[in-house]
This record gives sequence, structure tokens and C-alpha cells, in this order.
Amino acid sequence: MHSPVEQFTIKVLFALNLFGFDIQFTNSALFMVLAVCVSSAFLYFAMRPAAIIPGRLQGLAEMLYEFVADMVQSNAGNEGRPYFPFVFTLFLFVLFSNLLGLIPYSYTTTSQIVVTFAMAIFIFLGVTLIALFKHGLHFFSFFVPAGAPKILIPFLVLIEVISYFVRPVSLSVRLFANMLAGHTMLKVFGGLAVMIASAGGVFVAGSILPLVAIIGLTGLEILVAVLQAYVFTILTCMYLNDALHLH
Amino acid sequence: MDKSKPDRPTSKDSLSKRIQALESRQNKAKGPSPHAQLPTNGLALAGRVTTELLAGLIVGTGIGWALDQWLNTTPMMMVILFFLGAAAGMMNVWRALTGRGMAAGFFKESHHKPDKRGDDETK
Repeated sequence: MHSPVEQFTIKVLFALNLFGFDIQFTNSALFMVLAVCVSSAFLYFAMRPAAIIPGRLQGLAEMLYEFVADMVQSNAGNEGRPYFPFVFTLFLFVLFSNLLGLIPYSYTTTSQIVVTFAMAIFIFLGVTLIALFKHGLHFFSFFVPAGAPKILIPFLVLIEVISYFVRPVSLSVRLFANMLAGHTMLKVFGGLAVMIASAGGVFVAGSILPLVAIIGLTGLEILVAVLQAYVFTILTCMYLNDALHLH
Repeated sequence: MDKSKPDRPTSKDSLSKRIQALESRQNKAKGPSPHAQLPTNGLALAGRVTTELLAGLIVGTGIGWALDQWLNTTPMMMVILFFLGAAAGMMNVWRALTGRGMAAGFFKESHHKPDKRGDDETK
């Protein structure tokens, strides 16, 4: 019997030694490359006709583009527009990693905290640097809550600073935990179906129940995959908004 | 026939002027809202509250532990920052639930649109 968390094991597919760096190409890395390739190929082939009246595939690609463009515009304003390519790439990468992970026998890169935290910490550092370059030292006024009583200010500044450093953690943990929990749950129900069926006799019919549950859960997981990609991206836009327009 | 409709401009010049006017109007209308909010769908909200609380504790305790290692004050900083981290986590939850976005500090209440729950109570 396989353990439900066995699906998350990292397997080294081949090891490279480039200029003294030990580079191991794992199944996680493979699906990251796949996510990039599939999303790029999708956009390339969908937009190739470049018709004025879009077909279905082109319509889908344009919808994705407009969805993210609208998200950047409404959350970060016009000043957020230069960062649209980054946000769009981020959205597509997370979306396709999540969705590719739902294909049986594939691997979900976003179920690894290393991957999500690496993305989150780069967003966090980038956004902080944008704020520092744009506002200089005035950026630090961000940590002083407006309209607070003077006695409370040192205390509140401490809390604000901590809650600022919480951002990359909560951003990465949310995506990672959702993917991890969802995939574990699917595997637990799958294992349950096999266990009930292996009891034999009347119990084989009983294994239909967990199988039905899996169908429902898979639908839910597709929703979670899209929703978490959306949440990850919209939070990036909100952080960007804070950096561009200090209150 | 509707006669109040503005007559359609034929020259290219006035059309581009109209497009410019429309774009500037759209840009004005679509500024960032002061209370940008995540979807208030139950699942997303539950996940958000849990992670905010947990992340606050983890980061607070982590910073405290690092300070202890540096200043040799074990376990004072860790205990203090554990509570500060918890406070930061709760503050983030409060922000998420009241729709105050991510920005620090207090907003003037006039900016704050009453949410649906508030509307129901006044009925």
C-alpha cells in the first residue's frame, strides 16, 4: 500500500555537473519546465491566427490576458501597468503548475514549499525594492499607522513590521498548503477505495462510495487550482499597489 | 428613432480624439480602489484566515529566535515576539475580514464602504 504522501517525493531524473555546481534535474524541475513550455505553447498556438474575430482558442487566450490586465489595473492602478508582463507570467506559471499536477502520474511543483517560497520571497524583495526606489526613505512611514495614539506607536510599528515580514510566508504557505492538502486528500480516498475493494465479496460494491467522492474532489481540486493561482496573483498586485501608492 | 444620439463623426481626426477622451475617462474611473479585496468565497476566506494566523506566529517566533541567538537573550525575545507575531497575525485577519486590503494603519471611515453584512443589520 502506498502512503498518501509518497506522491510528493522528489526523484532525481539525471544529475548534471556544470562548472562545479551540482545540478540535479528532478521530477519537480521537469514539471516546472513543462509548465513553462505548455503555457508558452498554448499562448503561441492560440494567438497564431491573430484573427480580428477570435476563434475559441484565441478567445480563451485573450480572456486570460484581459483577466490579468484588468486585475493589475483595478488593484495596482495605471502605475502598475509596467509590471503586467511579470504578473501575467506569474499567473500562467502557477496556474499551469497547479493544473498539470492534477493529471494522474504527474507531479505538482507548487506542493513544495521551496518552490512557492522562492516565488514569494522574490516578489517580496522586488516589491520592497520598487517601494524604496520610488519613495526613498519615505517608504518607512508605511509602518507608522495613521491616526494611532502616540503612546501606542512604538508597539504598533513593531507589529506592522512583523506583519510586513509575514507577507512572503503567508503568500507561499497558502498556495503550498492548498495543493498539498488537496492532493493528499485525493490519495487518501483512492487508497480507501482500494482497501475496501480488497476486502472482497460484498465490500467491492462499497468501494464505489470513495470513488464517487474522488470524482467530486477532483472537480473541487480544479477549482482550488485556479482559485489559488488567482489568489497568489491578486495578492502580488495588492503588494505592488502598496509599494506604488504609499498611503 | 432616437434623435438625442450624438451624430457619428466621420473624419479620422475627431474619432481619435473621442478614443482619447474615452481612454482618459476609463483610466480615471479605474484607479486602484482603496479597499481592494480578495474574493469573499467561504473556502478562500477560511484558508486565508488560517494562513494569516499561522504565518504571524511562525514569523514572530522565528524573528525572536534569531534575535535570541544574536543577542544571547534566550528565551526573552522569543517569548515577546511570539505574542507580537500573534498580534500581527490577528491584525492581518482583521484587515482581511474588514476589507481594508493590505495597507497598514487606519482608514478614514468615510472612505470605507459599508459591507453587505452592515447593510443587513440596518434593515
